[in-house]
Formats: sequence, C-alpha cells, structure tokens
Amino acid sequence: MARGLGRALQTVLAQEGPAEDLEIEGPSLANARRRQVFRYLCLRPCARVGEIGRVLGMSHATVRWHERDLLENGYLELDGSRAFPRGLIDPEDAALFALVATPGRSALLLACYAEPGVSLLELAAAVGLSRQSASKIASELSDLGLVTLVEDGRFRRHYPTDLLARKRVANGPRAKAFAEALLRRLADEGLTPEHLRSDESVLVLRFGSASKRVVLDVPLDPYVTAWKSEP
Amino acid sequence: MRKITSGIYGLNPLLDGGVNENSTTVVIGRSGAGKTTLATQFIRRGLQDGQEGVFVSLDENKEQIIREAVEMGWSDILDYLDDELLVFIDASGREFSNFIRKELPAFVADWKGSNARIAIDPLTPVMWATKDLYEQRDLIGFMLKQTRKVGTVLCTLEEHGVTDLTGPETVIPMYLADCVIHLRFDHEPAKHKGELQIIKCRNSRHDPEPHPYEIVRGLGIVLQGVDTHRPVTAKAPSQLRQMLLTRGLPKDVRERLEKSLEGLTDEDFRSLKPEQVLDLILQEYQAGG
Repeated sequence: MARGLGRALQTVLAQEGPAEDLEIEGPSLANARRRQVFRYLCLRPCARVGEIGRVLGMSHATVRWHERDLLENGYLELDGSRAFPRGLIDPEDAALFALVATPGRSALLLACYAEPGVSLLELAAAVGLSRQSASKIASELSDLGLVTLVEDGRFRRHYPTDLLARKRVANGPRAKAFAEALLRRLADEGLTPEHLRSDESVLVLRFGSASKRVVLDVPLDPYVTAWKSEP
Repeated sequence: MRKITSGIYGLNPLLDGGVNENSTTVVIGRSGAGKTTLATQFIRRGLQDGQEGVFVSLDENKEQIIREAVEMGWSDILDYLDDELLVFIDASGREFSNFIRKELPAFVADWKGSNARIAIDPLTPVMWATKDLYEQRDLIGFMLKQTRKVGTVLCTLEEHGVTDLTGPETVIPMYLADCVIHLRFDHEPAKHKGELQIIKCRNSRHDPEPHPYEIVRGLGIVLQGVDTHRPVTAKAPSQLRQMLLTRGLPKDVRERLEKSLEGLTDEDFRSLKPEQVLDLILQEYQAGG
C-alpha cells in the first residue's frame, strides 16, 4: 500500500495554486487574475467593472485590462459596455443580466421571491430603498418580464415570474457546450486540461504546464447565480 | 463489510465488531464531551495496526491537540509523527471547503484504495463556509462520498444548545454519514455524566441503547455497561424457520424467506416474537394470492 496520503493532503491544502500565474506566455487563462475576472463574469455576466474590482481586490484599470485581453481572445463578448462569457448565455439576454447586475436589482428580485405578492411599501422596506426608487426598479424588472405588477385596491403587488427558471432550463445545453468548448480551447492552447468534476452548476478543471498546474471552478449556472450572488 | 476496531473501549461490541472499513462516521457532541479524544483514539488505534493516520484540525491548532494527547498519556503519537505515519493538518473551514470543491476529486483519484484513518475535527466550520443549506448538503455529501474511497473517515460535529440532534448543524451530516454516534454530555457538576449512543450505522448491526462513558487518563473514552460476553443466540429466527415449514407456503416464497433468515440472531428480532412475524408473513403472501 502506497504511503504518504497525509503528506500529500497537507501539500495540496497548503498550495495556493488557484491564485498563481502559470509560467507560460500566451494563453489568456495562464494569468491568475485574468482567470479570476473570467470566473467572476461566468458567475455574474455583465457585472460592472467597479463591482468586479471591489470583489476581487483589483483596480478598475486592472479589471479593464484583463477584460480587454479576454475580449480580444474571444473568451468574452461585449454588449454595449458590459462583457459576458462568449457562449455561456444567450446574447439576447445581455440586457437582462446587465439589469440584474445593477445594484439593488437582485435584492428586490429576491424580496419578490421571498414573499410573492409583496406590496411596494413592504418591498421598499425589505431592500432599504425609498418608495420611489423601489417603484422605479420594480418597473424595470417588470419591463423585462422578471416581475408581474398587480393592482390590488390601494396596493400594487409584485409577483416573480418563472422567466429566469425557464431561461435556465433552456440554457442547459448551451452551458454544457460552453464547458466542452472551454476544455477544447485550453487543450488547443497547450494547457492540457483535466476534467475533474462537473454538473449543471459548475465545471472544475485543472490545467497548466508540467511544472505548475492550477484548478479552476467555472460557474455554469448564470441564470441563478447572477442574481443570487450579489456581493 | 470488513470491520476495523475503533480504539474506543467498549464501542466495538456495540457496532458488531467495529467500524466498517471505508465508511464515514459522524460523532456529535457538545464542547467538552470528548469528541477530539474519541477522534484521537480512533486514529491512534489505526496507527498501532500500521494504518496511516490523517488528522485534519479545523478548529484547535495541531500543537494543542498533540499536547492534549501527550497529557492523556499517548506520547507514542510523537513517534508516529516523526515517522510521518501520522500527519496533522491545520486548515480553516473555508480552505477545506475550497479543497473539497476543487481538489478533492483529483486527490481521491490519486490515492484511491488507500486505507488510512482520517479524522476531521470538527466538520462544523466546513458547513459554515456556506450559508445555503442546499450547498452545505452538496458539499458535505460530496466530501463524505469521496473521502471514504481513500480511508475510513471520522468527523466530529459540534452540537449547540439543545442536545436532541434537531439542530440544523447536525441534521445534514446525520443523514449523509454511514454511522452516527451521539455523545450526550451534561456540564452540570452534579451530573457530569456522558452517554454514548449509536444513532445509526448502515450495513451493520448496532446497539441503539445509550451507554454511560468516562474519559480516563491513559485510556481515553471507556464505555460502561457493555456486555462483551453475552452469547449470541438465534432462537427466534430458528423458531420462525420451523413455523414456515408447517404453513404450506409456496416453495419459492419459503425458500426466499429462509434465505433472508440466514445469519440472523435474536438481537435482530429485538422484542418481536416469531409468531407475530409469521402472522404478518402469512397476511402478506395470502393477501397477494
């Protein structure tokens, strides 16, 4: 029986692989910070540069620099000023993701899911916004079909729709194809990716050179994570 | 299932000979109940048999655990550490949960078939690494499923507040582990008594009754009231087998039932009487024609 399991486990836990650059020039994802930016945009497509910088501890300029590289290399696509991973979402939904990634929108949507039929006053109190701001955001969400507004006497009630759930189901094959394309792309770039684990919400892979390999978990379920993971 | 001795005095008879190899056990108890002592006993027993031991500490630092083990009289663990047969790993709950998510599958693929003893003490910070209950269940389930491929795993779990195992921090691991042991412990000096109870144990007979325990220097946890010399009897299954012969059941049904009764003992029947079981069998097969 081979010995050394404990020592090996200790080594794996001590290493900081995911945050390390690979000693390879060229492939976009060899850069640790770029991997973080890419990963974040898979989690929250169309997230603002400011948000990405704040969460990942990078300056706006650094985030923009990595976004530009990922765009030039076809990892990302652009809608207006917002970037999202190419092939992970329906490009038609970029506006929806951009809205959800705007501060306060996710919180309001979550409040509607938590209490379907919630009134405007309750909604404003739940998310800590003025009545006017809550009303404006609710209208935006309603325009995109995420929330239905129902007049109920003196109250305006807010019901979440199943739009995101339907889009999520419809996106399953696209997310799977995205994961497969990513593995192929890394292989083409000579990063010899190993597929470690995947399900409908995440792809975990390891790649790199013979001397240094890193693990990356790529979120694959943006129709859930985009609005449930607001920082 | 191969049994390995647990290292806890009095526990093996309650588990039909010991812990199932390559299984996962969760030990639940309040602070001071003896969870870390039990985990150390479990690891140390494996070391004595030449098994590797890995102690993942997510709360106390390793120096503290080693010091407590030495104070308990188990200074031999220092030799095992020198020989690298025993490895202590300090990690935070977040680090360890990241490891589970990202590295564990590859690690298990590399070390599959090892027969180490692995203790994770306590599992609680891993659960707290995520607030979402579904994610907690996914994470813990995945970890338990994977780690048992490389050894026999024992995780401890803190119990807060009431000690009736209904706390949210205990429910998820209880469902997912193969074996669950509860160390019920009272801090009041007047009582200061502990009771160990096996809540469940998959693929093994086990004694569900609570048993008092003491923590004794040099020995660790010692259970009381465990009858290790009780003869194994099989009167009830034998009587039932005889009764089946006289009831004109179809041959294939009788043969299937006889096969099911093979190896059963009176303990499996607990308080059930063979005549009661026979009535139910007849109802079942006569109702079905």
